[in-house]
Amino acid sequence: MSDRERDEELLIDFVLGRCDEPTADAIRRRLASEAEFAALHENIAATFEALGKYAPPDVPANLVERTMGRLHAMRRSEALLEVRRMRRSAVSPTFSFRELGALAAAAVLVVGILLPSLRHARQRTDQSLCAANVGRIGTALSLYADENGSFPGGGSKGGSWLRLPGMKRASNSAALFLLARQDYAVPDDFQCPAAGGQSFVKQAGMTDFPSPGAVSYSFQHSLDRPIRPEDLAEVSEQMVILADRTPVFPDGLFRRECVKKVVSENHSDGVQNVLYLGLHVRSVRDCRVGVGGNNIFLAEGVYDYTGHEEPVSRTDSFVLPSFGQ
Amino acid sequence: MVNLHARRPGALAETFAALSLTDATVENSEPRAETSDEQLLLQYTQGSVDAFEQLVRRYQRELFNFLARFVGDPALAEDVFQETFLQIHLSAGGFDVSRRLKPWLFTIAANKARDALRSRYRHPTAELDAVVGGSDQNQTRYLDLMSAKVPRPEETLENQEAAAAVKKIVREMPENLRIVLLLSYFHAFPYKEIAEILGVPLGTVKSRLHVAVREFARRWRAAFGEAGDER
Repeated sequence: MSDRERDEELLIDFVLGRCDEPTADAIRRRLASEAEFAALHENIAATFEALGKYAPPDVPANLVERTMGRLHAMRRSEALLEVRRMRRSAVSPTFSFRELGALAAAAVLVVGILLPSLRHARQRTDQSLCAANVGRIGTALSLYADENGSFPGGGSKGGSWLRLPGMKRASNSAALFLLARQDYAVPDDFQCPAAGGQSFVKQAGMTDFPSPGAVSYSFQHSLDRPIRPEDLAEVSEQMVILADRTPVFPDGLFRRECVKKVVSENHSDGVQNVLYLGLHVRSVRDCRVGVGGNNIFLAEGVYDYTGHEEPVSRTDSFVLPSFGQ
Repeated sequence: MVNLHARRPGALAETFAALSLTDATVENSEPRAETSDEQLLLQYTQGSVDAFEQLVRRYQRELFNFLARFVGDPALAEDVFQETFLQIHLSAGGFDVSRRLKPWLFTIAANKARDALRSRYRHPTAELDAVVGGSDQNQTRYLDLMSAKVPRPEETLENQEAAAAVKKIVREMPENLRIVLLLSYFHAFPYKEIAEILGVPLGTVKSRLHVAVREFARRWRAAFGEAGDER
């Protein structure tokens, strides 16, 4: 942090009345003797003065009464549900064989007619929800980069990014987890609805997703240092940095037969969502969607993996498996 | 009326400190009963609905003002306000009454507000545009904010115009900056409690507030020009 930035933070605290008395006295002395410091103070004070003009709207009439009305309605519903639950446990319904047969026939008919179209609609919905997740992760990455200078770093520093028994592992998902831990994104953003993700609640001390099901997306290997978006500005529209879970390393293991797979298995309709460095999301049916048709699931030209392979260049998209802790 | 034009070194700071602290007090201007928030919640869990109503009444102004400024829409703010207290009802049994209720209330309110914004605006185009890096202008967006004079509202606009302009600027700021700005300035929460409300480290709160002030100043200046010479 530069001296100027330190002064700004100090003066923000001062203007907000958050300095202790000795610090405030020191600031007052500097204000009297340093013109530039005083000018900075003037700017910050003017900024807060402008902000102070934001008057909220009037509190709606009867806000308390309406809130209490909803509370009473909720309490009534809870009481009714409790009564029903007690009645249900006291009386178990019985059906005759004929009634059961009729119900089963109706169910088969309904399922046969509606299931295919329902499945298709469900796939499209999941596709859209997944794309929205990927977009939010992109926003989170961008905010993180704004505040920290780069994306969180993902790679194999200190171990293998594969899940090999007996070997030290370097979880690539820990980088994505930083976004949830530091409140840039919420846990649900990381679960593709089509992949049957597993939600979780953040807890103190967590450093990675609690299980493989809690993260459905694969994040770019960042080589020896985290990606700084401005370094790669010229390829921001072509370089993929995140995608639906890679199909090449199922369960975090390498299987040679999977090298030829071109699409994630998150979605059953052969489509996957990918996030580009420029933060746009595309739904694609192929893996060759990186810079110059680069395969996003493989390090360029590498077909055997031990968990230590890296992208061959900074523009080589290579998204790694994510499996949490 | 506080004199905002005082020029004695430190006077502005004291003025704003007073304003900032007063704001939260004024917004929470319902007469304080002797019973603490935590005791009221405890009484509610023991069957007193009146105690819950006292809590709602006690926080109606401060919480509604926070929500209205954060979501930028009074109708949505009212909905979130009600959802917040319904959640308090659902979770009251699990609340540890040795802790302060107010940060917990604001934690729930902030989460509900963010959920509401997300479901209303599924595609936050403005925010995406605002943070995508690439051009030179974007790369320096947080770096040059104090380099020129920030115009004071009275130098540019009448009160109503200024209020509308500030509202627009605050609404368009990224969510995580906006919330820190509101909690620290209008509600005078200590940094530690803001960190608790947002579930982020203390250092992150301070750095976000710093960025938020710079960002607000930049947008304010961009909207209304610079009142004086470049520094």
